[in-house]
Amino acid sequence: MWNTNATTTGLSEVLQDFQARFNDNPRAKKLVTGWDRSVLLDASNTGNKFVLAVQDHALREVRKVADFDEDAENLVHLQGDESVLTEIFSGRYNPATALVDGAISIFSSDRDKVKLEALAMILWRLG
Amino acid sequence: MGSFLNLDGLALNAEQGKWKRRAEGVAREILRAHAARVDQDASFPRESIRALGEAGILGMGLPKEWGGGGQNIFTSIIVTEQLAKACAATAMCFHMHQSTLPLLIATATPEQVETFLKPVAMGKALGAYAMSEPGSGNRIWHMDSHAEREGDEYVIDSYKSFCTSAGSADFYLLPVRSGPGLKPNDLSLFFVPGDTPNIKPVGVWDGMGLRGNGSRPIHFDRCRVHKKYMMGAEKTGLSFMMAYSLPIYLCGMAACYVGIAQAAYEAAVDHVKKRVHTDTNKSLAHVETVQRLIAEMRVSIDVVRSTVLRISQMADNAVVLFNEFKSTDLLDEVMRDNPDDPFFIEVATLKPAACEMAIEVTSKAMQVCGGAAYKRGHIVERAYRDGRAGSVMGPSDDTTKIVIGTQILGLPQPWV
Ligand SMILES: Cc1cc2nc3c(=O)[nH]c(=O)nc-3n(C[C@H](O)[C@H](O)[C@H](O)COP(=O)(O)OP(=O)(O)OC[C@H]3O[C@@H](n4cnc5c(N)ncnc54)[C@H](O)[C@@H]3O)c2cc1C
Repeated sequence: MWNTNATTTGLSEVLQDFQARFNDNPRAKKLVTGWDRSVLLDASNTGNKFVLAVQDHALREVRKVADFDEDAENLVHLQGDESVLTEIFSGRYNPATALVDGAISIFSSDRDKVKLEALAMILWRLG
Repeated sequence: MGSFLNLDGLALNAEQGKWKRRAEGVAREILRAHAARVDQDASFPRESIRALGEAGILGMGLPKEWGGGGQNIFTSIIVTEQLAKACAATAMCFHMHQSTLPLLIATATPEQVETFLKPVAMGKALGAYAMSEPGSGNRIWHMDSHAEREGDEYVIDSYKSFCTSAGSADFYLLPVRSGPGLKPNDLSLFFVPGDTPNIKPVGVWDGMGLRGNGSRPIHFDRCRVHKKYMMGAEKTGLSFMMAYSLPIYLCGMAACYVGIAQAAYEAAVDHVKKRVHTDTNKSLAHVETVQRLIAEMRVSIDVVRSTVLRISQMADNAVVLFNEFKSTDLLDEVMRDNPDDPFFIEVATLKPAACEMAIEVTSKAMQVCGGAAYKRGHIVERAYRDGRAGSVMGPSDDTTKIVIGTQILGLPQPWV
């Protein structure tokens, strides 16, 4: 199910694949019911930025952005090297582990961090 | 070293400190005063349990809105350790009680809170957790007994082989199969009030240690309880036990055995400083072998204690995550699909680590105290007997190690 060609595939393609996988997972969809958020992926070494828009219990959109208001409401901000983000969204690296390893930083409310942890268990651990 | 800079990384916040001091006070003034008699007579520590209720300690794990103390697992662990240092039997009764609480919080409906959980929060009720059955012994995820629905009631027929506070508890949390034809781990959970007819404690508890526990068998002999006493939905019991009981049960069990080991260690340090041989005119503290054994005890206790504190903080975080799954109605399926989550393994390691440490430390304490500690009534003698129970309590250390090894090696867990 996961994109195993991650090393040769860019973050953009990996995220498209992730969107499909997310929306195919009934548990992930249940978990984000009522949790409408913009998740900003911020590749700190390349400057690339992507926004994942979670709305109406689905991952509605993945888009590359030039800039994004980091103080926007309902924003979850995830920062790390592009290779790390690619590893994560291709399924090779559980984001909960990446956080413990200091490979990514997350800027969000505590409530949103719990939601991300739950999503990590559903998508990365249980598949 | 002062804790101003929090150099040990584990400084308590003001509220946790308040609970710790409160527990130390009750332990010093009440538990310690009764501990020797409770042990000698194998009598239930009624006065000590009453004191825990009056100090708010019995209700500390329940929400403040219910009248409880609103404390988490970490604070409960700090308190348990203090109690176990003074009277291990009381600490174990308290511990089995506190192990019921997170699950009650997770499953209670507003009606259940009003009708029977508020008195628990206010420290007016002691709970017992009746899991072990004769058929499965220490493998406490497997139940043979069951409940059957009859109209608005359930008829529970369940024989539990050990139950701390049996006959003295104000309520029992009871996992049984949800029906006669169902699988051993399709469990339902009942809050059974202690005055329900046909609850029959069996015989007397005459243990080697933890003699005040009243851990005798108990028979729920076709007990009838109204359906409102079922906690959570039918068949989801094992998932809720894994998520909400197992973490506090394993952390608190470890805290009990850290407390027992500390009591033995402190008594040993005191003894070897005071015991002077006339031929050398020196205390035992001057004997190198004694110094080494004292140091070994201290190292063993410190290593386990800091691990217990770290993992109990982790357990509090895990509860937040489990609440997230509960609130989205995913808990049962996530727990069933995830029996070997690394968190469960981490928390499971506490059991053999603490229980084996307690056996080692109490044994070394007896060694350095010599014949004095071998006599009935010495603190080290009592700790030696109390400290032996943990390793056989369910899941036995041996079973726990098999569970851990199975997970590491990627094999299925025995309850799946
Ligand atoms: C002081 C005390 C208080 C207790 N309080 C409670 C309570 O409040 N509530 C409650 O529910 N229970 C309680 N228990 C029961 C406890 O949790 C265990 O269920 C019980 O001690 C198991 O005893 P058993 O003789 O049935 O063990 P058995 O299941 O017969 O096991 C005996 C030994 O066999 C070995 N063994 C068995 N299975 C395995 C395996 N799969 N892998 C490796 N080795 C294995 C182990 O060495 C184990 O120690 C208490 C017990 C004690 C001693």
